[in-house]
Amino acid sequence: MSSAPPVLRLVEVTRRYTPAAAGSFALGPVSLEIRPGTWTVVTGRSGAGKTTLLYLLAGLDRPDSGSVFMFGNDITHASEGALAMIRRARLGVVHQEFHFIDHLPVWQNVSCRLVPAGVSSRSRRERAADVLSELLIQGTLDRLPRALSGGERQRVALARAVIGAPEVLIADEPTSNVDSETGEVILSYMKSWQERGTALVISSHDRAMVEAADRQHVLSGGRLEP
Amino acid sequence: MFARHRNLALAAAENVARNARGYLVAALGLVLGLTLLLSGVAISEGLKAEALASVQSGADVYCTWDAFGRDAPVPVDAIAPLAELSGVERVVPRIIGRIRLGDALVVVIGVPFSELRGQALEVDGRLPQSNAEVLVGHELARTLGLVPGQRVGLEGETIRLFEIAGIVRSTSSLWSAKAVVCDLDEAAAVFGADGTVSDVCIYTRAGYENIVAEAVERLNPRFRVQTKQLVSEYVMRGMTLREGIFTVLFALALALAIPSFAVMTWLGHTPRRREIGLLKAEGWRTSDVLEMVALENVIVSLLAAGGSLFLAMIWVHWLRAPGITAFFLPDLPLFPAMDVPARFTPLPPLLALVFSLTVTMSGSIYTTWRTAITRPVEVLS
Repeated sequence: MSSAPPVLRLVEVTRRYTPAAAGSFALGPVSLEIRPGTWTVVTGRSGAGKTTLLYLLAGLDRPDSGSVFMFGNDITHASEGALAMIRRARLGVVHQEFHFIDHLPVWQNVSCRLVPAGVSSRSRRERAADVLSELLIQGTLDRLPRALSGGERQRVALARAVIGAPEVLIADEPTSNVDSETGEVILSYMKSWQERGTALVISSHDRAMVEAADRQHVLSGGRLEP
Repeated sequence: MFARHRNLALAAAENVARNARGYLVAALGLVLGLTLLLSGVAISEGLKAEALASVQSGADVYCTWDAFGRDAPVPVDAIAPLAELSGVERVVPRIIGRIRLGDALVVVIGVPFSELRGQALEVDGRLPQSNAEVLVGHELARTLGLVPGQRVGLEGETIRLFEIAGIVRSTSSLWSAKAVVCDLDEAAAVFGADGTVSDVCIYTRAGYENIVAEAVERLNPRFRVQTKQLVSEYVMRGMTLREGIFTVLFALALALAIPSFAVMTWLGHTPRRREIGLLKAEGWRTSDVLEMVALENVIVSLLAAGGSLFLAMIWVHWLRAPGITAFFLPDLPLFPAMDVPARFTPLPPLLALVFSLTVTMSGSIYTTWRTAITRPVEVLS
């Protein structure tokens, strides 16, 4: 287990879905630390709040109470601009629903975070091609997302998350609805990122994913166990 | 830093191309209104330029007679002393009046034919060689189907028959478009002008304009004198009387811009909400999104202003501005056969660009900003 300071830290974080339903929390209070180069898996039943937890870790959502630390900084009340810069440079997220921009070809979807970073169109395309090649789907470069199979979509979503060489990779059910062969490609690719020092936080029920993890947490009743 | 702006500009251009239909609707409203406005301004500028050019190439001093404090015809006997004044080169008496010819109300201009020689008039046919011949304006000739060699009768106090020697071409001055030019004595006979002329044009040596004007007033206090400078000021003042037309055209442009505003508002919100949320999730800042959308607006505005200018040029120069010309020149028909004087200057297209930018920016920036400041999770959930 890494002894380096945590890259992500949740301290007594709560998040409820509807403010009117006082006391009915979707999540929390939850505390969690993610250190560099670790593999953390969060499991739990559907609706347990796994996606909410991951979105809080990614700075895509804000807690109702508690604190969120990213790379040593309290980002609980950070500006949207500051959070965006962190997401662009240091964080990659694989969404469960993929969330592609339907009218953009795969390479533009994969590299869209590099546009405001000033990376030229040619370099963006080359970098997207490299990542897609590592995931064995280089042929999808110019295709539209709707023309992709389920497995290809999952890998494109992963490619988009890692194109910025993130320090933290957060993935929501990255191997759900893919065949075993694709699942193995994704698992092995994620391991390669862990070996490069990237911290992985994954929500998954996939046995292989759980077995590969350093730490496993079960989200139940809005709380993390152990 | 430049690379970021370049990338956002390219992304904006791609977005405009991709949402071409939506942006086309937005641009169309702007183009329609701005084409009208730019055409109107161009015609107004053209008329102003032509009027001023006519004044500049005309006489230096214009004289009429004072009767009860108003302009009146000048007695012929009062003309001869004018030629004796120091600095005067030429004195040209004129009779100008209106009569009905067929269904048209025409302007009859009577000048000594000796004055026509040497004038740079573009004529189909030839210049008149006797008092029994006239020149006819191209618009009048077109309306009444007149051609050189044809005979025409002018009926005022008396009826006089003339042969048409030539048709003044449409490339000539606008002011001759619906005019008949005849000899001074013949015009006097037609209008029954007994020993008087409408006015007297005095051509002076360079720099003598004001000296001659003062000398004319001293010569006979009943002369009412206008210098070229004064006539130019009257022309400019007359142009400002048309401002009501521009108020109407601007109101029309504004009305046609409302759909553009609505489309831009809709484009900035509903269809792009998910896309903007995703871009934010991928690390785009609100300022990145706003800059990209602003650049889209710049592109659409440039296209709208450029398209308007292009269409206005075609409408005015090639199609002779059907429909709108009559607002500026009431004597002309809905579809004039003559070239409409028009001048496209840089300022109106620039103002059209500013107008387009105002409409598109105000339509989209706020809604885009509202979408962009929404937490990504609310859009992605």
